[in-house]
Amino acid sequence: MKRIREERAERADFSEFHRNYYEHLGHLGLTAAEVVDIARAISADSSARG
Amino acid sequence: MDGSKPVDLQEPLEELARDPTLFSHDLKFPPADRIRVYDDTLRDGEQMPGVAITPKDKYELARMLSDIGVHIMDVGFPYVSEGERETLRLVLEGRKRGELRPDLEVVCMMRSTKGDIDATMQVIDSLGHKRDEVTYFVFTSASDLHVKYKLGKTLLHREGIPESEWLELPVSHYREANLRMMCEAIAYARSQGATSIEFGGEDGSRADVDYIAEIHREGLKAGGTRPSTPDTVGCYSPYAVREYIPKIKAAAPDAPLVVHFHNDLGIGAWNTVTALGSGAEVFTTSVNGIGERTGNAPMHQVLLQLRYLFGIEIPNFKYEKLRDLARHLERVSGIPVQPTEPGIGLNVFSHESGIHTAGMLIHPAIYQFIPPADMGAKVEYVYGKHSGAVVVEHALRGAFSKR
Repeated sequence: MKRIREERAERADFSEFHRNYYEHLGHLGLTAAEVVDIARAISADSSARG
Repeated sequence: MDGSKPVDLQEPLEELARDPTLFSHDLKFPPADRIRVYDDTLRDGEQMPGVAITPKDKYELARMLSDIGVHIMDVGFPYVSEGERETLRLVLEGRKRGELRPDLEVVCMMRSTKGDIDATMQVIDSLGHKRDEVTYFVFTSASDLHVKYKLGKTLLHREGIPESEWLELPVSHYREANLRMMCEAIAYARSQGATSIEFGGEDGSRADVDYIAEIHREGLKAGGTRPSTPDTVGCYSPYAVREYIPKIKAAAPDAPLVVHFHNDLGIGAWNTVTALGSGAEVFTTSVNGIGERTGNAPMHQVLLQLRYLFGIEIPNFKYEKLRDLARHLERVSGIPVQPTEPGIGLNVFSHESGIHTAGMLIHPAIYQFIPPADMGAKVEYVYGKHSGAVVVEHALRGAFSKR
């Protein structure tokens, strides 16, 4: 049992889980870049409408 | 003021906002250079259900713990598996090569039996190291519940008493037998070449304080060098710590006292700080607070409480690396911390709501008292449902000023 668990640990790789976790948290809100994109879209829309 | 930089405060910050260290208390801390940070991540931390860390990953953690400034490191029970032996080998070799600090104390755990001590020493011999290169943590139990019901049959076997008498014999019998067992084990470890011996009884927080005091006095007489008292089930309150730790310390005033807290009621760190202010000098912790059940007292919480509430900084400890250490343990253990975790969580220096972000843009001290740079971090703004116009303007100014 101990050996199997240690062997499983040798093969374990949590890096993708870890990346996904922080990407998930990071995407709960908007970034400054997304705010700027929204502002640009609004500005372009206003210009197009004259 | 152009809105992109914080305003220059015209008065000292201490005059504008009360220094958080200014409050009355009766805690008496040792000098900061006598406080010892004792990491339990590789042993008690890994005992978190489901967690298994490879020797290679443990070594990398050991390297980071050594670099960050931990003084003592528990590497577990080297005789129980090949993986544990390999961890000890890597740590001792790394210390010899200078990858770990030469003054980093390495602790091996064992029960109070000749068999466990022999097995540990055989591992050290087989690795080609001297027996006095590690500290031997010889432990037993301290509460009557443990001593009679967990260890009872073992104690009877040792003394040639039939198992049928187990439940009939009084607690006092087991206390005496337990003390003999621990002291004989300590003396034996000494006789076999151990020079640094930590000792103590599990479940200390539910034990009779007078019995703990006896364990500590007699353990030192038998050759032990450092008593340790654990809150194994995490039931101590800070008030109990304040009452009992001074009595425990008084039994062995000249020896450093180790305290070990679990977090079952969410106060493991505060109990640790209270114990340090009540006579203890050495505190155990785990990175990210991982461990049995609700975990051990989290290292970052203890260190931050000492630093920001009592002004105690551990000399040469690299606080600014705690967040990197946290991320690393998350990756190797598969256990992430919550974003609100003090000091090390993702959101600790993040702000979204309109009132807070507007205040932060005037001066970061308005809504934070821990400078992010202390933790190797910076203020982050998150934009969303609660954002206000000021921080949106800040984002736009930032973007368009770069053009």
